[in-house]
Amino acid sequence: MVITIASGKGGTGKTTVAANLAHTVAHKNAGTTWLVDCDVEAPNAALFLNPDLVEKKTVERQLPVIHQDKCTACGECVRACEYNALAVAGGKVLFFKELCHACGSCALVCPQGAITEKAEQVGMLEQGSSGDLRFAQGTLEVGFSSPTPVIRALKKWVVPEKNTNTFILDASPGASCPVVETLRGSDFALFVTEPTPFGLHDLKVVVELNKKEFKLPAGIVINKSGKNDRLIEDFAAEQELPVLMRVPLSRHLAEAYSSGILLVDVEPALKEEFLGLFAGIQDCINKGTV
Amino acid sequence: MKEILIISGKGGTGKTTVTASLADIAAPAHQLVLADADVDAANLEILLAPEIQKVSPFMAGKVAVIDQDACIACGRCEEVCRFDAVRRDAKNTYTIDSAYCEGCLSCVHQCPVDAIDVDLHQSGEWYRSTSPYGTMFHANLYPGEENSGKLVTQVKEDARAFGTQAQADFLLIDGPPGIGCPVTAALNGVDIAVIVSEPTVTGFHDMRRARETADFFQIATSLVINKSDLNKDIREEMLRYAETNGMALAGLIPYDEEILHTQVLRQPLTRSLPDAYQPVFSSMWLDILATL
Amino acid sequence: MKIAISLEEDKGLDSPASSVFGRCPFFMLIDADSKKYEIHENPARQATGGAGIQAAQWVLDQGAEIVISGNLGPKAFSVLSAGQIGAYQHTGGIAEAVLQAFQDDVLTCLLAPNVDAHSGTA
Repeated sequence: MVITIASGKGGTGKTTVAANLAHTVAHKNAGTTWLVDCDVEAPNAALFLNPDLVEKKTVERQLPVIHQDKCTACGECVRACEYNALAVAGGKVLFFKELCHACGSCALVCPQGAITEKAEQVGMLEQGSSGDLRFAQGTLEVGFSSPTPVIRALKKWVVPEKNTNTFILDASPGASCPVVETLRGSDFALFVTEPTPFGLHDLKVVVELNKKEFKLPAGIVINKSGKNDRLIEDFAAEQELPVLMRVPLSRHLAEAYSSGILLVDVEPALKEEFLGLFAGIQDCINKGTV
Repeated sequence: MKEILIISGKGGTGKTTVTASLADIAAPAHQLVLADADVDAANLEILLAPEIQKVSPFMAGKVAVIDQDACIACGRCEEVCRFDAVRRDAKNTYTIDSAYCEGCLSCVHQCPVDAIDVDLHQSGEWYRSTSPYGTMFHANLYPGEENSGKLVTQVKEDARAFGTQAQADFLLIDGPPGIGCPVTAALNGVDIAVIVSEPTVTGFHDMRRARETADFFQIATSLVINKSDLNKDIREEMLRYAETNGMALAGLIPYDEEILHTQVLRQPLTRSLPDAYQPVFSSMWLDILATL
Repeated sequence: MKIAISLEEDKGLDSPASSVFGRCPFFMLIDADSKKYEIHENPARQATGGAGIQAAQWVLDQGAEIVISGNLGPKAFSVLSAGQIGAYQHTGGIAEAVLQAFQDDVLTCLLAPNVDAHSGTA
């Protein structure tokens, strides 16, 4: 079973929910539970779970190398490049790495064979354990623009096509390509939000994404829950999405979070609630609610 | 025109809240242009209530499409595609999965029989609006669409072109979270990156990555710590880090649950809680000006 | 000598000059001596990234020897520099006036034209 935790809005508590849920469930679950941190631009789950990361793997893309001695400055590569990463001036080719998407087109079109390719690291994958919980994360190299290849490589590495274990995927905020990549192939989408106009606005975007692209069974967690929950509850009712859990707005919990402490470690009563959340998710999957 | 970008690394630290309040403080004395570069989840409009003047379609999505009549099923497209976008079914029919296609068009160039066409599709829209604080550029990427870095560039470049031509004093950009393509697009060419963070393990971790990213593009940075009294130890560590790494300190905002509650009023903090927040943001604005 | 001027609008010699290079709506290509000119839509305007690079490439391919615009980004600058194109910064006004200012040598020079080619490998 693959559960993706997404939010639309950043800072609502995806990682908090993912880490606490995974940690709590790992003790009780039959089979293995995994936390896979797919927020490769800023992976944070490890800060709460302190996994022992014993296995590593690099993610590489092929970037062009221009051989100026063979180059006749014909400009074919410049015309082929959709990203303006190449220009030809003064009889030689200029390459702008920050714009390159590693598509390989320039190397293929060069009539002189003056462009070869070299592997460059765009990300790093790591896996290990935190108590009963298995853990994996991907990290995007600073300066590299696209997280999608790193997320794809991470999922391929640790999430098998057919799986009987439980995989909890922590997605990045937003609703564009990295979130799509994370949601792809999941069995359930858990949306974490906060009871504010920002939270509601961005929740709508990611709910829309799910409806349009994947139609996964889905549910909502209201974090920083309090007097304005109605904002979210009304929307949830309209969309026929269950509110599966509320985490109260509490300075005490915020302080624990700030120090990297799991909420269930300072409020043991929350353990039952996270188990309840997990049971709720399983129910939804079994019922096939969308 | 000076360009000020507000980023965070970590989502939810208060970028939009800070941007709106700075706009409220700066607008009386300066001509501002505003941009919301968080095109996946554009929130600045919730606080600034812009009136849309012009809507433009965003057509970044080039995708390759195989013409089945011309295709000879040689498989060359599958060989060259670096993005796993080519599908072959049991009947040996090749198609391109537009969800994976990144529009590099390598297959278009390599197809021996020219059987691949290029389609443009609309993946979002962007707006030029008026707001109480100045002309505002913002956008919405349709859910699930790719290319958010490109739309960010569109929004920012149009804001920049407009502001330069109008001889505005400042361009204030509400940035996206993270450090990937939307953020690198937003960082391009700005004069300062104001990093809004919080004194938490995750906030500090992501603040460092945001600073490294800005540094990689040789952009000056300034730090704002939101919820500053939530964790004294981490706050002090962050302040030390800022000093060691040449970040200016623009301001501290204490943990205040009222901020969350008053957001329903849909106004900058300097309007909804003026006694507490006008001084905080006035001083922050002056600090930013000093750094520039 | 062929000169490229970035323009805000297309109004012939009365076109207001643009201070933006990569995404200006139009370029004027004008012969400094004969004053014969053409105005083209800037093909880089719709570029999703690297507009400055694409605009510089285009201007170079059109045979311009001088570019007059606003500030140039570093990538556009490197393309023009490699192509040995001079770049000047105007302070506003219409195309005709900007050209005159260039000929009167009062514009800020961002990149000196006709830099001597280095001997050796290109």
